[in-house]
Amino acid sequence: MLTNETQRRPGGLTALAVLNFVFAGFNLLGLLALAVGLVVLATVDAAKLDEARQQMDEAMGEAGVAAIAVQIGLGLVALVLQVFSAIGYLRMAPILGRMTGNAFAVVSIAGVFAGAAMGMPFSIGSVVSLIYPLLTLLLLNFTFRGDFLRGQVVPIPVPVADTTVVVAGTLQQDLAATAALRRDLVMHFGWRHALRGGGAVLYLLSLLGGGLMIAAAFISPVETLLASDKPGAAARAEEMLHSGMVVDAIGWVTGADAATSAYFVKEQPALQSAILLMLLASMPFFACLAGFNQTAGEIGTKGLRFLLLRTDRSSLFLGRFLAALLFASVGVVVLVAVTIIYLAARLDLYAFTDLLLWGAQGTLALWLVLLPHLALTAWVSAALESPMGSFSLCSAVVGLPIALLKGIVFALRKIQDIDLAWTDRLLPWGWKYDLLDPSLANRAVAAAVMVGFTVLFLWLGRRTFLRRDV
Amino acid sequence: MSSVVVKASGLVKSFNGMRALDGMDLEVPQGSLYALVGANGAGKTTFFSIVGGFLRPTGGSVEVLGHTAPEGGALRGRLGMLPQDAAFLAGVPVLEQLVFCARLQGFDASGAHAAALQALDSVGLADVAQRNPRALSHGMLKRVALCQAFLGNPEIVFLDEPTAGLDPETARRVRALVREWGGKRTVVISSHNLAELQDLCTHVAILHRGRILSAGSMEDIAFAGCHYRCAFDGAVDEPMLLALRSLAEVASADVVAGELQIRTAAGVARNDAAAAILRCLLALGRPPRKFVEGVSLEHRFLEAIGGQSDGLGGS
Repeated sequence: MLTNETQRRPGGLTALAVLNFVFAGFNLLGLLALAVGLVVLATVDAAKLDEARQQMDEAMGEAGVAAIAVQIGLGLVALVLQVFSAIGYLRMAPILGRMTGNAFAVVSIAGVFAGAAMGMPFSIGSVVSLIYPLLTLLLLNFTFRGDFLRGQVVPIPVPVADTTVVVAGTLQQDLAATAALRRDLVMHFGWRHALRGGGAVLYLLSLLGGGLMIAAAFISPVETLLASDKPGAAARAEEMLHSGMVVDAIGWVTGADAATSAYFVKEQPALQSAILLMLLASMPFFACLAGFNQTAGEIGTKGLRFLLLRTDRSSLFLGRFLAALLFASVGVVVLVAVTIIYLAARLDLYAFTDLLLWGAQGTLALWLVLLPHLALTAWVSAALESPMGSFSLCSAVVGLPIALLKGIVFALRKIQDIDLAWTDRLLPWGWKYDLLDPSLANRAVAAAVMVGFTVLFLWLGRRTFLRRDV
Repeated sequence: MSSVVVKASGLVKSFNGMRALDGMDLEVPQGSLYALVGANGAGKTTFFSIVGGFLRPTGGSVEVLGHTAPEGGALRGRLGMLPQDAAFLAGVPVLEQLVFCARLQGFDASGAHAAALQALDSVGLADVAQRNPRALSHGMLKRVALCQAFLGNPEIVFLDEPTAGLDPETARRVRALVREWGGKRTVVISSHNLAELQDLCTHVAILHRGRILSAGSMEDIAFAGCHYRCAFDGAVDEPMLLALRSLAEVASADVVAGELQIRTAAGVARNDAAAAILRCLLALGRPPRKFVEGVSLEHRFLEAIGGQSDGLGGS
């Protein structure tokens, strides 16, 4: 009998262990850099390195040498805990794995807040560094809790509250009503399995990590400007954000006219607009991560056969799609919420209600972009038998048509001066920025197009799944 | 055993032009333990997969419990199956997967939990309920898949190679389970272990190249023109043969490949024939060292597909 941990360990836990090792490497490099900075601050004659010291002081905020030393100490403790907990995850050891992992997460979170309390700058980068330990806490104490309890019987979570009870063997009732129940059951089980299997963990980390890095790219320069002690920094930051150059840049990225670009910059929080527009452009690719393995893996292992004996193919297909949509949506909501809270708390540029309202509209827009692309991945996943093949094809199906259309349009414009920009509208990609358009009518049309594409892709996917051999 | 619970009519399934099923006709009576035998590639798994709704037939039809083109949605909880080569989800404890299966069958949450635990207990695996399937041996996984097939007490169960790859002890245990369960519902089993099927099943169908060559009750197939095969300490002599041939219950008695083979007369009850033969042999002072009744399923199978048997075998 195979009893080693490799055979028992959920894929999500393996992914967490691998990520621990990878991030530990990055953290080590960061700590080394911090240590070098500390040595420079403590030993080099200030008179000789005035400019460098000034820059470093700016970077370090109000923190002194002692604060940096504390940071390095906490960082080292977190690093050791991170490495040991990764080994513990792989061994599924209760103390070395779960307990040490929890300790790593707590120390990491404490390190960020301790640094802020001691005068280290709290930036969007600090928020990014909070995401991983928070996710670790959630996964260790909910999703993978049972995997660390050797030999103990853990109560099995009930996927859905009791609703319809149909005694097996006597079913000749309203199948349509029970199909909805089965679809819900498939969705709940799919959502839970996606977390345990590792797919959802990777998606959430990629979305939150990638999304916050996108946010950081816009926020950091403004933050640096605001952090300087120079008088009128806030006014200059605002002026910079509302400048014609920013309006032009937004117009160039979105293809919008000057009035629409100005709306994004001047009538809405400009920084938030920039983040949302970039997220809208990235969302199709995050959708691939969220949706590529809705059915492909289990068609390959024939695991779906256990389910097909008990439910109809439509419920299975739609239930899996809804599960992917559920965790993809949770990621989007968390990402936008974090940026809103950060912008409101750290940058004194926008009113919280403005950020909240524009953020809510942005979340809806992101969700609407997510819909057709997840449906597309559901179709691809239903057609293939390999998760890796499905991921590759999903990425290609999402990315290639966009690249091809862009290339053709660009080439024709160069050669013949023919404007075929309208061809963008053949794909959901071409409608994404309209979801935040100042005109409500345009937004409604774009939303209808997104829903239309979703229905089309789901119909095609369902048709493929119903007809294929599983 | 009155009504028919599975009816295949002219069932055809092609894979890239190759016919795995080529007009298969089959009727499975209710309450039977039905053996489906055939060589590799005969179409057994393809037939099971069509019944389970995993594969779409190219032609013909199959009706299960009155439903044509069966799918889980229509038959949920009424049809169980042990599919060949299907794998449980890695990373999700087996109990959780069985609970999910039971919930899809219509059980409420607590009922599903109880049914799953009971099913695992019935195959002696209650202690691995929380294990990841990847931590289980091949035999254990087979037993988990088997209890999945019987989860919720379905009316008809299809078992595709239930003992393949199992050690003798586990295989014996599985046979005992099937025998126990089979008495309560219709069970269709495919296996290459023909002696096992002959021992277990009440009915048999021989499938060859996608067609049924022969089907009926095990009695009709294996005991048609009932044979007895005897072995003795010492040679079979002429007086013994003459004495046996003189019995009204015996049609013929001959030595074949060093063994005495006796064919009973038409219309004679098997028990009466066996009693008469044994009485005769004891009267001659030649009790048999081996006394085997019937023709082996393997013999009938090889006979049907035109292959070679190394003897009559027996049960």
